[in-house]
Amino acid sequence: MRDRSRLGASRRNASLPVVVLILSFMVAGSAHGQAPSAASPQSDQQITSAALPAARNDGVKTLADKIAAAVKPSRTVSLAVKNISSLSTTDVEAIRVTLERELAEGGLRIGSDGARVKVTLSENAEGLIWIAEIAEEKNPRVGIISIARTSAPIEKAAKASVALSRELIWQQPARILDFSFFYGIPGVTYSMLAILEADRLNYYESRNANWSELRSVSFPNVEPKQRDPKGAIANAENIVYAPGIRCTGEVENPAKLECALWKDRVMRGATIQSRIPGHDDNDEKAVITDRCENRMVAVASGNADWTQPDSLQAYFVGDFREDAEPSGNAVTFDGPVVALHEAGQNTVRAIVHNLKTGNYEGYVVTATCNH
Amino acid sequence: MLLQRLAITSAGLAVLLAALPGETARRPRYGGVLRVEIGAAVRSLDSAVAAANDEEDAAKWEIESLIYDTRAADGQFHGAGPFHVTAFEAGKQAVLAATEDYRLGRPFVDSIEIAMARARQERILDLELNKTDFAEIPAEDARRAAERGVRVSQSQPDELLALIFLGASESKRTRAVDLRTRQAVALSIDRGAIVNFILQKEGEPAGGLLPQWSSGTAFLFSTVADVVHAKELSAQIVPAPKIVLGYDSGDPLEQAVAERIAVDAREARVQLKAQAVRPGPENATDARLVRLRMQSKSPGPALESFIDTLGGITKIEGKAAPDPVSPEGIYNRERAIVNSYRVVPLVWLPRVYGLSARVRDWTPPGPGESWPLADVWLDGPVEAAVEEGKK
Amino acid sequence: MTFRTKLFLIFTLALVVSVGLVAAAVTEVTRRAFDQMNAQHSDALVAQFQREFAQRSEDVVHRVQGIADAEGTVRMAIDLSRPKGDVSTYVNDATGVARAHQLDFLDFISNDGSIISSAEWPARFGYKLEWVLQPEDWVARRSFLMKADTQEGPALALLSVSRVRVGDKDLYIVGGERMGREFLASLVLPAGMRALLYRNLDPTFQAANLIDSTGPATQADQFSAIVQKEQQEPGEQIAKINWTADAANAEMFHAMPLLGRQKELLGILLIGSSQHDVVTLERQIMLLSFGVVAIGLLVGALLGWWGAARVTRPVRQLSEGAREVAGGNWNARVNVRGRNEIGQLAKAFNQMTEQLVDQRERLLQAERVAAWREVARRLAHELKNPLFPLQTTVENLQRAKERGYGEFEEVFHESTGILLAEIENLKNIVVRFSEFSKMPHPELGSVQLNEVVRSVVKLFEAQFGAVGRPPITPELHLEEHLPLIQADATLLHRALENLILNAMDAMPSGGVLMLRTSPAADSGVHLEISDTGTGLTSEECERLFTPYYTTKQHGTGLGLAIVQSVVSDHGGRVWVESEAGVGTSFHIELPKHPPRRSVSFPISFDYEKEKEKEVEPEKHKQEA
Repeated sequence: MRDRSRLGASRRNASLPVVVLILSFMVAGSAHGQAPSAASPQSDQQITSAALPAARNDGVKTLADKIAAAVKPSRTVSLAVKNISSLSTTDVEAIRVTLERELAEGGLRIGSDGARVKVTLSENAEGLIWIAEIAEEKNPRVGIISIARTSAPIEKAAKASVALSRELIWQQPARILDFSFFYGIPGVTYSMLAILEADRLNYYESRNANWSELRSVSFPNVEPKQRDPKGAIANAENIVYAPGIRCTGEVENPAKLECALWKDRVMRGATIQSRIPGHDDNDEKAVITDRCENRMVAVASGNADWTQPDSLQAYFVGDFREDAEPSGNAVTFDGPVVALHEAGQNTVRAIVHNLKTGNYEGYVVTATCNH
Repeated sequence: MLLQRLAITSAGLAVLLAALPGETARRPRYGGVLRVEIGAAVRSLDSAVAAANDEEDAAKWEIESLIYDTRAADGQFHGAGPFHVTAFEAGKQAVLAATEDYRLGRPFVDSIEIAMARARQERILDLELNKTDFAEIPAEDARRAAERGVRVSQSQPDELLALIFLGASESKRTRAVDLRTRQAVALSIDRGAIVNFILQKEGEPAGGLLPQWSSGTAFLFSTVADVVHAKELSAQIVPAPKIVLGYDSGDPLEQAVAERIAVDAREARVQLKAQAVRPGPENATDARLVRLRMQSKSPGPALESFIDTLGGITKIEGKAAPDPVSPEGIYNRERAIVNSYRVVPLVWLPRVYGLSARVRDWTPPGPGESWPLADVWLDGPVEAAVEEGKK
Repeated sequence: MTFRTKLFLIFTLALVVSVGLVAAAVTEVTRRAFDQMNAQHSDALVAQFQREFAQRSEDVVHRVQGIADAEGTVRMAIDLSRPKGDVSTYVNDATGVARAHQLDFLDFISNDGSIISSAEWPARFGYKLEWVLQPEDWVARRSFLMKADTQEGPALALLSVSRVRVGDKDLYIVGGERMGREFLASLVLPAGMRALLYRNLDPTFQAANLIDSTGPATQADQFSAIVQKEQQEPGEQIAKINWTADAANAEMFHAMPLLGRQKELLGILLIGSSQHDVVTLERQIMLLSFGVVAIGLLVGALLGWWGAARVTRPVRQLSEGAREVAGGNWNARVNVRGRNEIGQLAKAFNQMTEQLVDQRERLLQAERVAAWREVARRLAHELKNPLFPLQTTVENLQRAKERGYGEFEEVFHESTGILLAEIENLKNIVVRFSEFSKMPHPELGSVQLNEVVRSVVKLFEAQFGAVGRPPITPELHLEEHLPLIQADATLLHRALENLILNAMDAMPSGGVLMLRTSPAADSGVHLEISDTGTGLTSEECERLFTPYYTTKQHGTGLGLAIVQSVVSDHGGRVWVESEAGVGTSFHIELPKHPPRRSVSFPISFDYEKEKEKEVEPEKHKQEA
C-alpha cells in the first residue's frame, strides 16, 4: 500500500528562491527477468557499494556532479536527503552515503554551513526521480534525475518461521506459470532454469553467477487465449503442461521436448480432504511430501483475490471431518500467489505476482518441521 | 500496475472483512452476470452520434472499450472486443455478453448488465444493498460509502481539479483578471481543507499540473495557502477586485469547492462569487473550475494533453521546453504555467469505484485506460454448467 | 345690509359656529379615539411580537438543546475528544440536522472555535468563530440576536448555544432561526397593520435591508429617517409616513429596536398601522359633519331667513313706513300686530305718524296761518307803503281842491303822478305775489347746470359793469365733468337770477361774485354762489328763506323764497353761510333725480277755518 503520507507531504519553501536540480536519465527495463545474486551479509560499506545497482550508482554520480556545478563557487554544502519513494531505508542510506562520497570526491565539504542542498528521492510512473534543490539567492536551479525502477535489489528473504521459508529464484515481467531448477545435469557444469510461460518454455543457464538465456521452446498457437492460463512442469513425468498444450520428452533437454495441442485440463494438484478456511478445490494449495510429526502438511495461499498481497501458510491436514490446522507463521509476499506446485520433499514452488513491481516471481518455499 | 486502495478506517476495514462471504475463491471463475450502474445516459453507441456531455462521452468510451478490441491513435475503435452488445435501450440499459472466442481469452463473466442514468446516491445505495456489482462513485462519497459498508476501490489520483482564469476572449466580461488578483486568489486557497473536508481525505492537494506519482516532482510546487501575502496583494489592487467563478451546475463537488474558494478569497479580501453555469461558452465568468483527466500515466504526454486542453480556455505561458519529455523539461514547463497563475491546480482526484463483495480481480484502470471488466470475475455460487465449461 | 340680512347672518353665523364647534369637537374626539385605538393596537402588536419572540427564543433553545442531547451529537463530541478525532467526517452533518430540526442556522464548533460543519454556509468549515469561546457573552442568555454571516451575506439571526463536554473538550452547537420574512409572516396582524423588519447590518441605511413578510419592502427609502434616528438613539418611537399627498395613504409606524448581546442595534421592528380607515372615517365624519353642518346651515339659513324675515318683517314694515314718512308720505301706516316690542313699536310708529300728520297739518296750518299772516303782514306792509302816499296824495288833492283850482291844478299833476307811480308799485306787488303763487311745478329734463350758470351770468354781464355802478367781477369755477341732472332749467335759471340779484344787492360797492359748481353725492350737483358783500347775521340767515323776509329796503322778499321753492321742488336743499363783513355764500345741492312730490299743499285754503283751528285746536282735533 502506498504511503500517502509520504506523497505530496513535502512542501517547498516559497519564500526563498531555490535551485532545484532535477537530474534525469532513463534506463530501459529488461524484458526478461533477473535472478537475484546470492548475497551474503556484508558490512555497510560493502553493502552500499555492492547493493547499489550500477544505474543508481551512475545516477548518484551525475547528481553529485550537478550539485557541485550548481553550488559553485561554494565549497561547502549542507546536505539533507529525504525519501518519498518506495526505496527502503537501506537503499536510501546507501544513496546518501554514496552521494556524500561523490561530493567529497568532487572537492566539496559536507557540513552544517554552506549552500543548502536538499535531495529528495522521489519516484514517478516510470521510475525513480531524484531532485536536488539548492537554496541560493542568486542562481536558483533545479536538477532532476530519473532512474528505472527495475534494478531494485532483492533483499534476502528473512528466515521464515519455523514452518515455512522462501527463496526467490526468478522474476520477470511476463507471467510465469511454473519453473523448474535443474542442478547437476550430467554433462552440464552449470545450473539450468526452465521458466514456463503461457506460450513458451524458456531455458536459462547460470554461468559465473550470471544467468543468460539458453533456449526458448515456443508452443503452438492456441486460440482463444486463456484469461487465466495455468501450466505446470511435471519433472517426474517429464511433461510440461501449458494452456492447450502438452509437451513431452525430456524436460531437462529442450531439444528433446515436443509440444503439441492438448485439449484436456491441466493437471490438478493434490486433493486435500480437510477443509482449509476460505479455500475450495479451485484454489492454490500444495502438499508437502514430507510429513511432520506424521501429519500431512499442506501449504495454501490466503483468502483475498489477486489484487492483494498474499501469504502462504502451512496447515496440518487430516480427513474430511476436520478442518486444516494452520501451523507456524505465514510467509508473506508482495502480491498474490497465482500458482503453487508441489516440488517434492519439503518444498513447493510458488509463483507470485508482485503488485509493487509488476513482475512475476518464482519462489521455492521450504517447509521445516520444528519438533 | 496500479495500486488498489481501501478506505483506511478501522471501521471500514472491519466492515470490509465482514462483507466477504465465508466461501471465497482465489482462482478466477467463469460465469455470472456483472451488474453495472452508471450515472450517464448513453443515447447511442454509434460513434457518429456525438455525446451530449462529458459524462455520456466517458461512459460511451467505457462501453466501446468493452465491445471493441483496440483503439487506434485517432481514437477509433476496431475489432471485436471481449463483449458484444445483445441488448441496448437508449439512455436506460445495455446488456453485453461475453465473446467466447476473444483473442485474449473469454471474459470470466458471462455478461454485463449496465443500468444507466443512476444518480450517485442511488448507485451508492444499490452497492450498499448489493443490488449492483460495480459503479463509479464520486471521490468525495468514497469515505461515507465505505463507512456504510460499500467496498471501495480507488485509482491513483489522475484527475486534476483546477481553477482556470479565462483569457480575455473566452471571458464574456470586460477584461481578463490581472496577475496580482490571480495570485492573490491562488495564494488564498486552502487546499488542505478542500481535501480533508470536501473530499473527505480522498485526493491530494495539487500544486502542479501532474500528480506526484506521475511526475515525481509535484512536491516542488507549494500547496500551502499564504493568506498574509494574498492580503498584501489584494490591498494593492484598486479598486478591490471582484471575480466571478463559474462551476458546473450539475457537479456538487465543483460547487462545494467553488464556494470554499469564495470563502478563502474573502479572507484575503478578494470578492469572489461562485456562480453555477451550464456547459458552454456563453457564461460571463472570470474563471472556471475545470476537471482535467490524465490521458497517460507518463508525465510528458499527460502534460501535453493538459496543455492542449487548457490552451483552448486560457493563455498558456512560456515556450515549450526544448526537451519536454525529460523530467526537468516537464518540470520547467509546469513551473512556467503555474507561475503565471492562470492555471491554479487545486486537488488531485482519484477515480473511485464501488464494488460488491463478489467482484474479484478488480484493479482500477490507469490514466487513459478503460475499466478492465473482462478481467473481473464473480465469487459466490455460479451455475455448475458454466463452471465446467469455462475452466 | 338690511336688518333682515344682518339678523340672518348673525343667526347663520351663530349656527355655523355652534355646529362647527360641535363638529370639530366630535372630530377631535373621534381622532383621539382612533389614535388611542391605534396606539392600543400597536401596543398589542408589540406585546404580541414580544411574546412571539420569547416563544420563538424558547423554541430555538429547546431545539438546539435537543440537537446537543442527540446521540449523534454526543458521539461526535466523544469522537472529537480523542487525540486523533477526525473533524472532516462531520463536515456535512449540520445541513441534515438543521433541516430535520427546521433551523436556518446550525454550526458545530470544535473546542478551539473552528467550524466543524455549518448549515448556513457549508463552505466555511475550518474557520473560527471566536465569540463562541467567550461563554460569558452568551451563557447567561438562553438565546440572543446576532448578525450572522451566511453565503448570501450577513443576516439577522436568533441564536442559541449549547455545549457538549467530553473530558476537557467542548463541542459547541450554535443554532437558530433567521429573523426575516418567515418570522414576519408568522405574526398574526389585524387588517390594516403590517410588520417590517430592518436588519441593521450596515452602518448606514440600506434600503435592501428592509423587508416585509413578502420580501424586500417597497419604497424603503421613506424609512430612512426612522431608521437613522433609531440608529443614533435606539428606543421605541412612533413616526408617520405619508406615502402620497393624500393623508388617507399615510401609515403610522411603531419602531422597536432589536438589540444584540452587547446591546448593539441589530434590527428594528416596524409595526405599521394604516391610517386609511382612520382618515377615511375621519373624512366620513368630517363629510358627515359638513353635511350635517351644511344641511344644518341650509336649514338654519332657511329657518333663519324665514325667522329673520318673520322677525324683521315688522321691522321692515316699520322701516318702510319710516321711509315713506321720510319721503313725505306722512300717511304711511305700519300694519304690524303683536304684543311684543315690535308690535308696540309699530303701534307707537303709527301713533307717531298720526301725530306727525296731525302736527304737520297743524304745522302746515300754522305755517299757512303764519304764512298768510306774513303774507298779510307783508302785503299790508307792501301795500301800506304805496297806500300811504296814495292816501296822502288824495288828501292833498282834496285839500288842494278845497284850496282852489290853482293849487289843485298844481298839485293835481304831481299828485296824479304820485298816484300813478304808487298804483304801479301796487301793481308790481300784485304781479309778484301773483308770480309767487303761480310758481309752476318743475318740468324735468336733462340739465347741465354749468350751462344754466353761464346763461345767467351772461344775462347779468351788462349789469356787472354798468356805468355809474361799482364793478362786480364774476368768477366762474365750473366743474367740467359735472353730471347732468333732471331738472327744470327755466326754474333754475329763475332761482339763480334771484340769487345773483341778491348778491348784487349785497355788494353796493362792487366786489367779486363767485359761482362754483361741483359734483355732489349720489351723482348730484352742488352750486355755490358767493359774494363779498356785507354778510348776514345768524338771525338773518335763519329767516332768510321766509317769504317776504328781506333785508333790503325794497323788494318783495320773495326772491329767496322762490329759490327755496325751486330747490325744494327739485328735491334739493339750499343753505347759506355768511360772515358779517366778509360775504355770503349760498349753497344749493340738487340730486340727480328729484323725488316725487310727497307733500301736497291743500289746494284750497280756508283762512277763517285755519284761524279758528289755531284758536281752538282741541275742537278741530276732535273733528279730525
